[in-house]
Amino acid sequence: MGDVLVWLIWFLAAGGLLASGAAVVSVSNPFYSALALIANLASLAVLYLLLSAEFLAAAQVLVYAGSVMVMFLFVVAYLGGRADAPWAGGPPLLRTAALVAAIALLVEVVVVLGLAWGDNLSDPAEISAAFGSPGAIGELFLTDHLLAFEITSIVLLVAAVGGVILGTTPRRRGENEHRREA
Amino acid sequence: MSGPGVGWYLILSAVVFGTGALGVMLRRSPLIVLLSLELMLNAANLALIAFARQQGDLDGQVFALAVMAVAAAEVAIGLGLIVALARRDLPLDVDQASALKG
Amino acid sequence: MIDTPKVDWFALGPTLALLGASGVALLASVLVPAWMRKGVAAGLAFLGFALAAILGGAVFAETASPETTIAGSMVQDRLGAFAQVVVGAIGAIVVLVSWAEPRRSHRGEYYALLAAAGAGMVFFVTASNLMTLFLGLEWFSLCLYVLVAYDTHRARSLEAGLKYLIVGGFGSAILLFGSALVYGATGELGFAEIAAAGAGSDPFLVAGLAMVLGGLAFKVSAAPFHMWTPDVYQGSPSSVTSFMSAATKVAAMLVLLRVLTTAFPEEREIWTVAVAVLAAVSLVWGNLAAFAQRDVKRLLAFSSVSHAGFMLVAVAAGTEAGAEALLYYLVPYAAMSVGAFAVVAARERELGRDVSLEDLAGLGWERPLLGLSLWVFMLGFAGFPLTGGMFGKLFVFTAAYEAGDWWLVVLGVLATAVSIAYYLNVVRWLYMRTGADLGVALAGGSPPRDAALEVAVALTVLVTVGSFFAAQPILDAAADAARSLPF
Repeated sequence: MGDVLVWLIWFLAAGGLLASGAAVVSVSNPFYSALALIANLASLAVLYLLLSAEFLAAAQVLVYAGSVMVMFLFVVAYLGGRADAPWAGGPPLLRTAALVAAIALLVEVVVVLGLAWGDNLSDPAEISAAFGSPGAIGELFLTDHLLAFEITSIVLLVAAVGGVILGTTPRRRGENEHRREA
Repeated sequence: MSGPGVGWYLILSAVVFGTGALGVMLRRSPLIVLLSLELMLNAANLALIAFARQQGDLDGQVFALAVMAVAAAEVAIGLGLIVALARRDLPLDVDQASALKG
Repeated sequence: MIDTPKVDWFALGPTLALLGASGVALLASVLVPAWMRKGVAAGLAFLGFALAAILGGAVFAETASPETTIAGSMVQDRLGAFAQVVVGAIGAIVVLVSWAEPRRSHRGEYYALLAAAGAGMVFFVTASNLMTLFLGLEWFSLCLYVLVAYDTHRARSLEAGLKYLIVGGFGSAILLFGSALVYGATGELGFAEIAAAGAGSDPFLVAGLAMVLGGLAFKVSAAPFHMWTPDVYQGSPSSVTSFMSAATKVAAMLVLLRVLTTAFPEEREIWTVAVAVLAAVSLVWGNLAAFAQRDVKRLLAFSSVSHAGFMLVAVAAGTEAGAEALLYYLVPYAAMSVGAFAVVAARERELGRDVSLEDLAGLGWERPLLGLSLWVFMLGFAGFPLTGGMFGKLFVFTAAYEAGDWWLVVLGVLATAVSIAYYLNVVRWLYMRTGADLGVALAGGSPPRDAALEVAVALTVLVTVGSFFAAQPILDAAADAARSLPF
């Protein structure tokens, strides 16, 4: 019974993931696209829970869906009509090239997974109840991956500084604003 | 592990990654391109976490967490650029922005 | 109790120097009186880069054999130290180049970001597992995205920044997915551990290797992943372009070499072929496209694509000689790249617009130092004697030939021959004067004195020519550095 339930949840989450993923890249209104991404992140959180990544699922919802997407929606709201997103992506050559590349990628994935299914992906390892818990991940961040932890904080600082630089405009100086060739 | 095996998660991850890649290559609005980029990074995260479960090794999850932070940072700068472009009344169009002279 | 790892502060020295410089410059940009901001920030950035180069040299001297430190996240070895010295020197010169650049706002923060980008690169070359690789890459890439878009009043700059972000993000995502696949195949993130896991020709490993290679190829602008290079190089402020073309190439090439040889030694047959193909496409595409360019920055961008091709020929050899050749090549290339874009920047500041080949007319007569320097750089790029470029190409071809890639050598020689045409064309324009403006400088009157830029250009000429005459010391250092790789 438990197994059936897990499969059911998996199917629902997977369906949500694929549908929302398709929606993100195909709808023409960026607001709906952002909402579709939120649905995508929620489906991902469910899948993370199924993979015993509890802390990550919570972080995904709080950080990603909670703040990053809110930032997105703010910008979409700010842009208003200017954010209209027509299809027609690029010259036909690029479009066919992209489609060919995507199909090639899919073929590669099928081949790779087919080859690996037997050996690599059988028998997932036994894990303890503390797998994926905040304590276990926190411990790793303070021991094996201390440096990565610090670098991540630097990356965030850089982004903050960059955002301020890009966001502030100097006071207008009249004609000089438009003298420089665009 | 009850439910589908790790391979199923990888298939999902690959399909979403491909979908995101198509979005980045084919859409013209920089907002949608940024959202597609997020799709790609999240698909990679799913792969990392699936493999972490497969190995019983938490390194994959730690990596995924770091990726989440970095993706957020990238989005912040991307959105800042888009807002700066919009403020200058420039067309928000990745194709028009500069011809792909290759 | 949690057992925190021992932190190797010596190995982190260069990174910390630049990070400290960046942080203090950032504070100075806010706290110091407005008229001092640019000076203080520039001074700090210069000091940071110089200190990073010196500390890199110290690490080079102290580290006879590589050791991974801080729980395996980074490695202290001569290869990384070599790159740290080169990046530090590039950064210091770029600070001089960017001094006179007209900037509307955020004058101080520019230098803080430049130092932060340098810190990222200097860390990136010492990364020893997939996680620190990705994080280091994103660190300096994010700084560069903002730096490219720095001239927010210029549409081309903003667009270049957005384009770089999108393409760079795409490349990073591919790199990340590849890393996930490699992690899945081996269960390890560290390069040495991945090699030791002995996954052989596991399909996940090979697919992951391909994607990691693809992601890094974006960063080094190897064709066909170079599409972003011309527009981004053209749109960004010229001092940022000079930094990118030299430092990013050095850091990314070095890391490419490190990842391929350290993490994937068993798959050498596969990746040498893949890299050889990338090299061939870059050589052909870069050189052919450079012909058609009228804008000098775009021409130099395609030229840098073709040079990525030459460097990849050295990587494709898959031998210690190839690594040595690559490391030597990077030194004169970096100098010539920074110098060439600096000269273009000088002309750009005079004219107030993008510099096309016609705009170069007469520069050789009006500003003889810059004209002569550009001449030296063009000859160096083409591989003429008396410049380091000649030895660079010679070593690369030798290494490729010894590894059996004679077809790459033929292609490389052909590419060099073809490139001479457009490099000499640039030189021709320098000294060409049409009858109409004989006697009158194109910019009208005498151009502004820019001592910092002229010092920078003089230094780069010194390195370009010096790497020919002093080739042996550089080669010895390169050999020492290459020895830290497991060949």
